[in-house]
Amino acid sequence: MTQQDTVRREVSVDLDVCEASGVCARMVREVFRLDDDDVLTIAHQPDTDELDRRVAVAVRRCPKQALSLH
Amino acid sequence: MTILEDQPINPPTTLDLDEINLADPDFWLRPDYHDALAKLRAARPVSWHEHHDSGKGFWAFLDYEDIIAVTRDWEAFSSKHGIRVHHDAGTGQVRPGTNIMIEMDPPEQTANRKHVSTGFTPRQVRKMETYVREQAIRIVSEFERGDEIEFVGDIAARLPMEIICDIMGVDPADRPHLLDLSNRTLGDQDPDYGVDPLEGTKATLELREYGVQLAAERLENPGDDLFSEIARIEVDGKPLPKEQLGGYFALLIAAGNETTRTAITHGMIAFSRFPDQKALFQSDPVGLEQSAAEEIIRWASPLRHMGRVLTHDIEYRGVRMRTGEKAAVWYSASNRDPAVFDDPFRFDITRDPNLHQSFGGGGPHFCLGANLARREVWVLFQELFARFPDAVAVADPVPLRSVQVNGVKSLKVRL
Ligand code: HEM
Ligand code: SF4
Repeated sequence: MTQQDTVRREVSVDLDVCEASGVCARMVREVFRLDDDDVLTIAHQPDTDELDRRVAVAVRRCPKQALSLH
Repeated sequence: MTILEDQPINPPTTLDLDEINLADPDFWLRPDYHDALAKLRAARPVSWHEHHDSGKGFWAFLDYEDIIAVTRDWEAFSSKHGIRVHHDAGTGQVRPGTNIMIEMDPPEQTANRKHVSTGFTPRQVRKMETYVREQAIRIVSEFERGDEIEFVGDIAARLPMEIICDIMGVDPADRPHLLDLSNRTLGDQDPDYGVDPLEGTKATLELREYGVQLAAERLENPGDDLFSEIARIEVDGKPLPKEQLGGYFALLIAAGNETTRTAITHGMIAFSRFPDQKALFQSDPVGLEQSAAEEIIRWASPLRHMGRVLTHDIEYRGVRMRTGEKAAVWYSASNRDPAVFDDPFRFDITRDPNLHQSFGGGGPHFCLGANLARREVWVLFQELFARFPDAVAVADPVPLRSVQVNGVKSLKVRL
C-alpha cells in the first residue's frame, strides 16, 4: 500500500470516561491537549505515519480507555 | 568520586533459574537481582513463586506486554480480593481489607475513583506548584553546605509527607506520628524496623482511625482541602461509611509517601552514580524537569509489583492458572526490559519516550498521584541542587528488606 492509499483513522475521546490524567497529552502533545478546565480536546487529527503510530500507542495507554480510533 | 561510582550497575547473576524466588525478601537484597529477573523473563515470562513460611504463592508476570494485558483485564485479574501477594493466609500476615478503590473492580471502582481523581488532574497539580516548591525550599534550607545528612529521613521522606498532609489538611503537629505509622505499615518485612506483621497491621488500623476522626471533623467544619471533599462524597445519595473514609485517608497517606520518597532517594543515588547526568540536569533544570523526573521514577521502580487474584480458570501463554490464585506484575523487571528501553541500565534523563510502568501497566488502577509525584521529584532536585550543587552520596545505600517496595533505609549524602 502506498502512502496515499492509507486511510487515516480519526481519534476521539469519550469525555464521560476521561478523567483528565493527561497521560495522552504527555505522549502526543501535538494531538491531545488538556485545556484550563481539565477538558481533553483533540487539537489536531494525526496526519503523518509517525503521529498515527504515536496516537495508537496513546490510545492503548489511556488508563481509562477513553480514546478510540475509527 | 564516590563509592557508588565504582560498583557494577548490573552484575551477572549467580543464581540458577530454579533458585530465583521473587517471594523471598532476601532475593531483593542481592546485587544481582536485576540480572536474575532478566534471566527469568527470558526463560519463563510467567512463573510460580512460593513463600518459604506459608508455602503459598503467586504467578509472576515479568514481560512488559503481559503486564499491560494483565493490568487491563480486571475481569480475570481482580483487585477486590486483595492486592498484597506477599501477605498470605497461614503466616499471620493477613490484613483486613481496606474496602476502597484500590481493592475494588470496575464499575464500583470507577464510581469511587471519580470523586477523588478530580483532585489530581494536571490542572489541580499545577495549582499545587507553589506549596510543593515552598515545602521543598523549606526542607533544604534547614541544612548548610558541607553538612553530612541522612538523606532518606532528612529530605526524601519529608517532602511527600508534607505535601500529602497539606492536600489533606492534616495539622502539622500530627505529621511526625503519621509518618511513623506510614513507615510501619510497609516496613514489616525488615527485621531492622522491629515491626512484626501484627504491628504493621496495627499501624494500618491506626492510620484509618485517624482518618475516621479527621473525616468527622471535616464534615462538621469543611475546609478547602481534598479530604473535606472526600468526606462529602455520596454514592447513590448516601454518604460513605466512616470506615471507608478512614480507608481513603490511609490509602492516600500510604500510597503517596513511601513511593515518592523511594523515587527521590534512588534519584539521589543515580545522580551520584552518573555525575554526567547530574551535570546535565544542572545545566537545564527546568527544560529537563519532565524527562528527568520520568527517568528517576523508571530507574527507581518504587513499587516492585502489584497483585491481583484470578476470578476464573484461564490459560495464559500456555500456563494454566486457577480461580483464587494470586498473580503479580513485576515492574522491576519490565522497567529494565531491553526490548522496550534502549540500554536500560543507563540512567538517561533525556530518555523520550519513557513509557515505564512504575505507575502501573495502565488500566483502571493506574496511579492517581502520578502527576503529583512527578512534580515533587523534579521540584525537589531543582531546589536541592540550586542550594547544594555538589550534593553527592558518600556511602552505599542501605536497602529495605521488602518484596513490595524498592525502599532505601539509609543514604548518607554530603551537601
Ligand atoms: C513515584 C511515586 C509513586 C509511584 C511509583 C506510584 C505507583 C503506583 C502504582 C504502581 C499503583 C497501582 C497501579 C495498578 O495497580 O495498576 C498506584 C496506585 C495509586 N496511587 Fe500511586 N504511586 C506514586 C505516588 C503516588 C502519590 C503521590 C499518590 C497520591 C497522593 C498516589 C496515589 C495512588 C492511589 C490513590 C492509587 C490507587 C488508584 C486506584 O486504585 O484506582 N500515588 N500507584
Ligand atoms: S489518557 Fe485517557 S483519561 Fe487521561 S486525559 Fe487522555 S483520554 Fe483522558
